[in-house]
Amino acid sequence: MLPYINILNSKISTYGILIASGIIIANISVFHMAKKNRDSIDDIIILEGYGLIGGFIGAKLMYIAVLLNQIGWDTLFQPKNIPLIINGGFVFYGGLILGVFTSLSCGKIHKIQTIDFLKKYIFAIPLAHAFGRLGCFFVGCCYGIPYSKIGAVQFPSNSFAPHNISLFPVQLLESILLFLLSVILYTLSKKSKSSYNIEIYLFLYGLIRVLIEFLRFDSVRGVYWGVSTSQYISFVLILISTFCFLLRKRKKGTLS
Amino acid sequence: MGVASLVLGIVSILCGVFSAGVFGWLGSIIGAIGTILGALGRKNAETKSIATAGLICSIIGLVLGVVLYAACVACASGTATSLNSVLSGN
Repeated sequence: MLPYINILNSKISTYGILIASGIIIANISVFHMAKKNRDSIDDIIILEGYGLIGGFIGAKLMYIAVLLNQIGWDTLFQPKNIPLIINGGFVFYGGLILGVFTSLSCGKIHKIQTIDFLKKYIFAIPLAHAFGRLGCFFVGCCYGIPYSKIGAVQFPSNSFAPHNISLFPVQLLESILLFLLSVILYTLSKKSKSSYNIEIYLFLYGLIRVLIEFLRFDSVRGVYWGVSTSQYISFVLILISTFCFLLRKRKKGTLS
Repeated sequence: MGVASLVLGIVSILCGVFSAGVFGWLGSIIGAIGTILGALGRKNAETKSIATAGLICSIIGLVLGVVLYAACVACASGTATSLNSVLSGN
């Protein structure tokens, strides 16, 4: 666990370095595959740019929505609290939903086949996300439940996690699962079997997230009746992906 | 498109370097807009070279913004704890 790294006498957050590395590595693999597929790299950059803007806004809005549940409107938008909100966290699902929506709608404006690109290169999302989760582990946020068996970790005093108890390394588990998911999607794309990649990603990530949330211990995640906001969204994504998969299978069946 | 991309790319780098991460979020957004304009500009043969320069600057600004403006994806605990401590101090 190393929340900060000293580079040229300035403290740089390990989380930032890891998430940036994740984005760069995901992009390199996307461009490498795009070159082989003879897809336009400029079109991919355009969609990614829109996705990043939408993702940023969506992740922040979802984060504010979760915070609003804990603290009222009046307190949240007091001038002294606004920098805390800006420099605070993000919620991945908010970013994913608005990011994909922005890419889809802006792709239409620029006449780019967004769905086709998304199917082929969706492996980049879990790949970058896996690096983000490694960053969570280094910073000590999104920590796991108290646990004292094999693999238990104790976070240092300068991290977000409680430092006097052993915890389950849930960030590492999620990171490994995301890497695996990315490998599965990459392999399918490489073998030109990417037609169901979006459904596979939404279904498997939803499943991973539902299970992982039971192993998390950070309290401010918007929990209603024992189920967190992310789990509710995961259930919806699992249902949507299953429905889309069955619908497309049925359409294919009737066509053939 | 190309010139706008270059301007936004330079502004995003400046945001990252001179605000020491405080306006890193702004740098990231400006950088993302710069990459879109740069990629669009590259489609036009006349503006391709300046758009490429803008695209590179915007990517550098975007990455710099992400590195310096480090906040945790899916992590609500950090700020909520800070806000709670602010509130309890009131």
